[in-house]
Parts: sequence; C-alpha cells; structure tokens
Amino acid sequence: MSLFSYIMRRVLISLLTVFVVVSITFFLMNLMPGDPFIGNKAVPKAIKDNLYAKYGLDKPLFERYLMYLGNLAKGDLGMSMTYKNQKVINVIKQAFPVSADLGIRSLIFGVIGGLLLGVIAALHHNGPWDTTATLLAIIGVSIPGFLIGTLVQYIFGFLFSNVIKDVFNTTYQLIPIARWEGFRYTLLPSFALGFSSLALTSRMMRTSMLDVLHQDYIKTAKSKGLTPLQVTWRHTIRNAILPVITVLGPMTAAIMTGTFVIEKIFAIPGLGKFFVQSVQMYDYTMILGLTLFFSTFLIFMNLVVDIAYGFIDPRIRLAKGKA
Amino acid sequence: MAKKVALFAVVLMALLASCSNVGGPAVNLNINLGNEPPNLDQHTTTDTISIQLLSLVVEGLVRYDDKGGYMPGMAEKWEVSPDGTVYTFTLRKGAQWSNGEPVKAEDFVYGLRRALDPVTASEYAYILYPIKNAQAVNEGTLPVDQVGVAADGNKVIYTLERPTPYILSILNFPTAMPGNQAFIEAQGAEYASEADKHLYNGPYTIKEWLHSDKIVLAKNPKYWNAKNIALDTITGYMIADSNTSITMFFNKELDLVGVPGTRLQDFTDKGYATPTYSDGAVFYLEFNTLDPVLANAKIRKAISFAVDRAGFTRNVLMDQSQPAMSIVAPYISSGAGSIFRDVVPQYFNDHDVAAAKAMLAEGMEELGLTELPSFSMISDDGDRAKSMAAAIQDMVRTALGVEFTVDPMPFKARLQKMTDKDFQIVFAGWGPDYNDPMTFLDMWTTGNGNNHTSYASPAFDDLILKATNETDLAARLEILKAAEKMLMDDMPIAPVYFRMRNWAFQENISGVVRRNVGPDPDLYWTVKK
Repeated sequence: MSLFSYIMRRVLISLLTVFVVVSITFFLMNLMPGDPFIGNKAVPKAIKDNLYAKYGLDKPLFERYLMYLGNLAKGDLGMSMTYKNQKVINVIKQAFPVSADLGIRSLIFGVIGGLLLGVIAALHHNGPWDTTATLLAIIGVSIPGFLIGTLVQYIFGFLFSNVIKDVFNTTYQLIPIARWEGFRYTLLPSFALGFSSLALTSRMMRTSMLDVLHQDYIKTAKSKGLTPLQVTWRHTIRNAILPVITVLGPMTAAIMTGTFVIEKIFAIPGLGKFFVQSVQMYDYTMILGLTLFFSTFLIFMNLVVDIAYGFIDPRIRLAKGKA
Repeated sequence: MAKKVALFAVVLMALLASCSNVGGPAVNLNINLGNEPPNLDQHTTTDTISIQLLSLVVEGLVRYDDKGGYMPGMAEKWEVSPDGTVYTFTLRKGAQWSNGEPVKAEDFVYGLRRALDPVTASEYAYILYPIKNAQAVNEGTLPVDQVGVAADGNKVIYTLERPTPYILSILNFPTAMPGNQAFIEAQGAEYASEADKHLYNGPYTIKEWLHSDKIVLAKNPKYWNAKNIALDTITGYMIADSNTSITMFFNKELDLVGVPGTRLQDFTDKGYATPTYSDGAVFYLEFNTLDPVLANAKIRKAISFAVDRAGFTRNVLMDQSQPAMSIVAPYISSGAGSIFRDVVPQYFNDHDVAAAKAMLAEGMEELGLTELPSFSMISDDGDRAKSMAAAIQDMVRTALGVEFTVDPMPFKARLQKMTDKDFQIVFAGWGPDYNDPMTFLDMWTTGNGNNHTSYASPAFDDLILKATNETDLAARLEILKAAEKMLMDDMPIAPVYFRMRNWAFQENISGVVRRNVGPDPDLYWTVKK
C-alpha cells in the first residue's frame, strides 16, 4: 500500500468519525435542559412559537437532524442563534485565522523553547540548568493561564511600558495591554499562551531524553568516537522526540482553534470564546459548527503527526503497519 | 444615600452650545462595549450592548433627553388625541437614511409591521402590544396591515388599544424604530450583520465593524442635529475581561469604564471619582407557591424578614447597591409626574429576626407542622452567584434555625427549572423595559410567563387590569401603590436589593448620561476636551 492509499483510507475513516461526532453532539446537545430562546425575560407563548418556527425547532428531533445533515451536505452550517444575523461559517472564517495566528506564535515559542529546555536539562542532569528548567516547567504547569496573562499584562503592558513612556517622554505604547493589531500586540498573549506548552514540552523532552541517554546504543555511539554533538543530535534527540511529536498533534489543534481564557484577557477576536459561549447560550448551530470544525482539524493534525513519524523515524512504516 | 445618586447621572454637563468641533483635530471617544453586539437589527434585538449602539445609529420618532424626558427625534412634533389613544407624529423635513433616501412615514409603518410579523419572530414584539391589534398580528390571527399605525404624508399615526402613559418610552425602543423596506429586504437574513449591511439615520453611522474586536462609529453629517454632536468618532472595543479594561482605562486607552465593587479602592487611590448610578434592576427571591410549605404567606415572610439586606450589599456585593424592601426600583417614574419610590415608602424592616421567627411559628401552626421545615434554593453556578446564594443561606439558617440548601446550576438549566416550576426558592432579577412601575408589577399576574412563583391572586390581577384601563394618572398611581402593597403583603417574592453600579471617566470627558431605562450610557451629549 502506498502512502497515497494510506492517506485515502485515513481520510475515509476520518469522515466517518466526524459524522459520528457531529451526530452524537446533535443528540446530546438536545438532551440538555433548556433551549436557546429561554432567557431572563420569558416571552409570550405566541412569540416562542414564532421563534421555534423560524429556527425549525418546532419539528421533531429526528427530522431536524436530517435537515441539519442535508444542509451540511450543501456546506451550510446555518445561522447563529446568539449572533442572530451572522452565519456560523462566517464567524469561523473571521475568528479562526486570528486564533491560528496566535496559536502558531505561541507554539513556536512553546515547542522550540520547550525542546531546547528539555534537551539542556537532560544533558545537565541534576545540574543547575536542570533545576532551572524543572522549576520553569513546574511554574508553567501549575500556574493557570489567566494568572500568567494578567501578570505579564500588568508588568509589561502597564508598568514597563509606562517607564518607557516616561524615559523617552512619548505616548508610544511599547507593549500594548490588550487587543490584536500588529506584532507588538502578539508578544504578551503568545508568551502567556505558549508558557504552558513550553512547560509540558520541556518536561516530556527531558524525561524522554534521560530515558534514551541510558540506552546501550548511546554508549555504542560514544565508544565509536562520535562527537557529543553528533551523539546528541543524531542518536538522542531523534529518538527522544517521538513522544513529543505524539502530543504535538492534539496540542496544535487545541491551541490553534483558540483558547477562551487568554483570548478573553487580551481581548483577541479569536474563536475561543465561541466554544464556551455557544454551550452556555445553547447556540445549537454554533455548537455543531464548532464541533465539526474542531474535530476535523484535530483529526487532520493527527494525520499530519502520523505521517511525520515516518520521516523522523524510518523504523515506523505507516503503509505496512497499522494506522 | 438616595440623594447622592441623581436619577440621570449627568456628569459635568458642559457648555453644549459651543461644542461643535470645527477645524480642530478629530475627536475620538474610546469606550468598552464588553462584547460583540449580538444583534444590531433594530426590530429583533434584545440585549443592552446592541440597544446602546442602535440608539446612536438609528433614530425613532422621539429620543430620551438628558433630564429624564423626551426630545424630538425623527418627529419634529407630536399630538395626542383627547382620549389619549391616538398619537400623531409629524416627521421633520430633510431627514435621510445613510444611502441618501428620505426617512418617510412609511418607514415607520414598515418597521412596526416587520417587528410584529410572526415570520420575523421578534422576541421583544410584546412590548408593542399596547398598539392596536399588535398582539393579534403578532399571534398570527390578523394580517400585518391591521396593526394600528398609518402613514399620511409626513405624518405617522399610532392608534392604541387604550391610553398608555409610557407609550413614548415604548416608541423609543429599538423594536419600534423605522426601517427602509427595500434595503432590509435586499439584505435578507444577513441584514445588520456588517457595517455596510445596515442603514443609519441617527447621529452616527457605523464606519467599521471588526467582529468581536471593535466597532467604529463616525458622526453622521446628514443628521438633523449634527451641529450639536461633539464627537467625530466613537470607538467601541469589545473587551470582556474587566481587569483588562480597567488597566486600559488607567493607561488612558479607554475614556469610560465600569467599576466593580471590588476595584473601587484602586480608583480612589488613583484619584478617580466613581459615581454611582442605578441600572434599574431589582433582585429578589422567588418562592414557588405551589410548594406545600411555601404556599403559606407567613413562611415566605419569615424567610424574607430573615435576610440581612444591608449586610448583603455591604459584605457580599461590596458596592453601593441598596437594600430592597419593595419591588419597584428607585428612580422609576410614577407615571404621574413624580418618582414612584419617592412617594411610596418601602414596606417592612430589613433583617427583622424577631418578626421572622414569629412569622415562622405562626406559619407552622397554620400548616399544622411540628418540625421545622427545610428549604432549598437554586442559583447560577458562577463564583459571584454562588457566594450570593451562600450568604442568603447563612442568613436564613442563622435567623430561623431551619435547614437551607443551595443547588447551583448553569444559567439555562436554572431558567428551565424556573419555567417548569421545579424549584422551591430561586434567586432571580429583573430590569425595567420602560419607565413605569407597571414594568415591575404586571409580571406577577396569574399565568404570566415571568411569574415563576405561580402566585395567583384574582385581587392583584384585578388591580393591574384597573391600572391598565385607568386614564386618570393620579388615580392610576393609587392603584399601582395598592398593587405593590398587596404583592408585599402576600410576598410571593422577597426583594433583596436594587442594583447600583459605579463607573469612572477621564477628566476631559463630560456629558455622559447614565440611565436605568433605555440606552446606557447615552453618549449623545458627550464632549471630550
């Protein structure tokens, strides 16, 4: 089986998975007590009937399910029930690129930084570098994002930037407190969002490196007379990085589709808030649209990771082995 | 306390006559909307962010002035028939939509019909029901052209079901605003979804709308009163996190900001004043009167009297909110030329433990109970809502010695339980729709969808009906008083507090009007030096 047919098979399985996920979400969502049009102010029954008719909620559940699938087949995700005149697809189209932009920046910071930190820590096992890296990792894992976000916002966006303003006698805001308008604006949220991935990646990389460093083939490589750099690069990192690659798929999917807390603190117009809001507000069409989008993206990222294995570790042959 | 808070906290109303900014640099006001406006379609919108924005970009026949009354909007003048049921508005000449088309009387007729059309499914359509046949049209039993509005040249004529003292307040609501039929129909379902999919006739137009990020309003040069509009642009950011917006305010990136009780000290430390205003909302416990124990009014009163409202506002809310021992909020008009709460006192003493214990004993005797009853309350599951519920729980337990449990749940689940009457006690609130005591009273009539208590008093229903039909305003006020008193005697609800809010503004800002009914904050008169 060639790589092409492998990918084709995976795509077919993925489509089926997405279908099942959307179907389960559809029925679970409708099991929740309450509905989109129940609010603090009750509306007269006639008006509720009008609303139900407008959004097709007056029809039996299964008929609505079939209608939704029918519309989906035509590429129509419907109108949001909270942002009443916005198409769900337009919301995703506008918000996803922002979340993805922020996500990629924080992944670059988090993953590259984390790998470096992990490698250094492992190579200096029990030394001061190791302690520093471990400490950073513990901070990153245990301090929640909203705290780091608010903290860096206050320290750099407010205190530090105001010192700069005073020193240079200008009104130029060196590091903005919030919002999303250019490179300067990306610094704090990328750091705040990437910090936990940095912690996670460095911890995994360190553990995995230490494991590999004790293997016999490393001793062999050393006794062959390879330089420490060659040993580290060609034998240690290449073997140690595989577990990290595994988590990279879901991590990328989760970070690139937006995070509620960081986007809220930095007022970034990304996708994160819609995941939370749509469930709180019972915005049925938005819940389904985002579920569909997220699950597709997650499956795609996992596929990318599986293919990447083949390039990094020649022992893994996708085409012959199981997926 | 009450005197400290003006009905309309008009801040430093400055020299309005000479505020036009000719030739100087463009003046931009930065505000925080807090979230993306969910729906800028005037006929279907329901939320406060959209209503605030719409008041700046779409104008109805009249608008609220800065002193609690009304001023001409698209209408130059209006007349009321002697029996108070026909209102004739004369449109001003030369008013235009932002696409250059004139604002016609037909636009008001179309707007009203669209809002009431069952196909539009407008949630707030019921606010228009005082207009003749509006309810029947909205329920689909009459065709839309039967609603009591007509265009006659440059006149719009509304016929009402009965005299309605607060009708201007209703005609000022977005649901009653005009619409340009050709434009709205051309946009279809996506009308009002983007800056260029909307038409404007108000003091501002929407120049730029970046969803969930910011919205930029630009002064509308075609607006009839443009010479008195001082700001060139208003930028509304959508910052959901209140700590972020406060940091931006301290950094002078925002000109106005809301101040939660917990942050008041920070503002005082930095030298900012934090004026208080009423947003008109009242919060209360609703008792399910279908519950065998809570069916007894004395038991309900026992719980109500046990609540320490002053302690609650001071220690739990930590802001300037006021203890509520009545249901009509402060600063609401009486409908007869005064403020209702100024002429009608509150009904019982706050935190009257002795009375509470007596009521409990009498109630138990009436019910033939020998053991103390236990109660459970549902509340929202946010941190703040949970701490509020816990405080009520503690107060009732301590005062009465009864078991009192709290069951926090998500917002929509709580609403569903309230609708299904599947609760004993619930912590809920209400904000006024129009400036009249009726907006707090008629919801407690038998079978009203907002009356989750199942309170059913033919005498109370009768008072509300009488007040609705009473044309003499002084007599009407007496009936409304009697209705509120009856509600407090029967106590299906235990009022807890009237919400007060604080805000701050930069020192070069003046003329921001805060209101408890209608668009808030109103930036029509705002000046930035």
